[in-house]
Amino acid sequence: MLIDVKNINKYFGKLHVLKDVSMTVDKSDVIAIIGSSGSGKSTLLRSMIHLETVDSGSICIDSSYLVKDGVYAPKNEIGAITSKMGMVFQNFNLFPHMSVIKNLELAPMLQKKMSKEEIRAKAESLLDRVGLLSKTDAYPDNLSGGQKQRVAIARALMMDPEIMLFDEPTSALDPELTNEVLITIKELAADNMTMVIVTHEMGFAKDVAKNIMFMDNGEFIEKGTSSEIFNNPKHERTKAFINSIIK
Amino acid sequence: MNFFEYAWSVLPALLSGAGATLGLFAIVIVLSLPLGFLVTLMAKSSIFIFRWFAKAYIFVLRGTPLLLQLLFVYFGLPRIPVIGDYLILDRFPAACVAFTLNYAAYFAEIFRGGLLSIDKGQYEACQVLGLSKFQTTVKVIIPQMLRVSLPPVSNETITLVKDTSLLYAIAVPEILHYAKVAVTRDFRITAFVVAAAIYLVFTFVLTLIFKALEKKYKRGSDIKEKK
Ligand SMILES: Nc1ncnc2c1ncn2[C@@H]1O[C@H](COP(=O)(O)OP(=O)(O)O)[C@@H](O)[C@H]1O
Ligand SMILES: [Mg+2]
Repeated sequence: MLIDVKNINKYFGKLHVLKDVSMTVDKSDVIAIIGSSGSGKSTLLRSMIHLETVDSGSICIDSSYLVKDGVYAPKNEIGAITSKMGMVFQNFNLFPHMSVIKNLELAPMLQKKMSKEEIRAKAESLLDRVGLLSKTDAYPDNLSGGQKQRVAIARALMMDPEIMLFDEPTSALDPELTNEVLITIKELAADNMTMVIVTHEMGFAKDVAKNIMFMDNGEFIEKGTSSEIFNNPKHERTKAFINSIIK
Repeated sequence: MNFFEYAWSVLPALLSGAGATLGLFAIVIVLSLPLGFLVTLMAKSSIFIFRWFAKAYIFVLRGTPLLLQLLFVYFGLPRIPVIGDYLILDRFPAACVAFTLNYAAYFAEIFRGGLLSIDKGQYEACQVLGLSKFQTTVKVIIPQMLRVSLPPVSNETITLVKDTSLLYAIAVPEILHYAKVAVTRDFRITAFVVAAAIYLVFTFVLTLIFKALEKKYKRGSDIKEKK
């Protein structure tokens, strides 16, 4: 098991955003989390990679506890635990003052685990993989949204994550640009990357995810294979959500 | 003597005053930019007393006239009981201190605005990529902050050129002083025109420098400027 989330609770003030949420992710799983806006999907994903802190429960990443029964690992160990994961944001969060290749190289350069030449070679091969080798020296502002997101994916891959977390990777994109990003993610799936994807793209979720989890109001109401969830939803609210989104 | 001959004849004196102007300008820029950034960091610190100090500092220094601050540093500080004896400064150093303190407050406020304009997603991206707080600040936050701050810093810098004429108030001979001497001596206002021309050359050169800097750092800026 790569990720084991057990009974986590999260409050924003009085707002109970995650209610005793549990989920597990095995190696090479591709899990899509769906649910209406405000149901807590982002908060769950962000909690896994320590962008939010939970109030109780446990999160175990590749058999190291990030948080165990509400108690976090020591500060100096957290970085090593979360480094198993890469994250792709809705708004890309590329560094606007750096060229595409520098965006990819920054973190590995600071980490100093590889030589400059190795880092450059790796960055170029990843840019090639997402189809953007020609944009090596471009600045983020001169890229389309779809290109930015593919650069963001390549940047995350530079750190060799075992797990990739995607938080609505195509929601900020014009509809005609979503496909290129979805294709990139599908290619990762084909390479057996373990992924947790929050998405509103139902067709994509159906296609790429082995398991779909429906979140509503801070809880997982239904989990299942994509055909179970889409063709035969058991819960009323899942039905309502799926009907609302497949217009 | 016609206008140009006369202007030429007073130029050397005025240019000798330009030394003080330029010197003050250079010292203040070099000292007040980092000091301003330090105050910004204090204003954002989690330590209450730092935050409080920074806010009070910015409030007082921006809220009172630079001329008053200059007079206070030169005439006022030495009169403070007990420590006053250690605070006696020569005219020019006193001006450097007053100007630096004043401009640091303005720059601090500009940098604070620059930091506020940086999306929190930038910090989050750094965190998930494993950058330390220090690496995040140096490699990602400061460069973006500087870029956003460049236009207002450029404005302040041009104001500083003109503010150097306040040296007149504590009798440090600078451009304006020599101009005034010539005007009173010769009953011709040409020296004021020459002084104006020298200031204009300074500000023009600065404008060019900042234009070039802005162009250099403009690349790929999608930072919203929140004012
Ligand atoms: N930093 C925050 N402070 C306060 N409330 C928040 C914060 N982040 C999210 N929320 C609230 O938590 C709930 C869940 O948000 P989120 O996890 O972003 O939902 P989703 O990603 O499913 O749309 C929402 O009601 C949202 O308003
Ligand atoms: Mg969300």
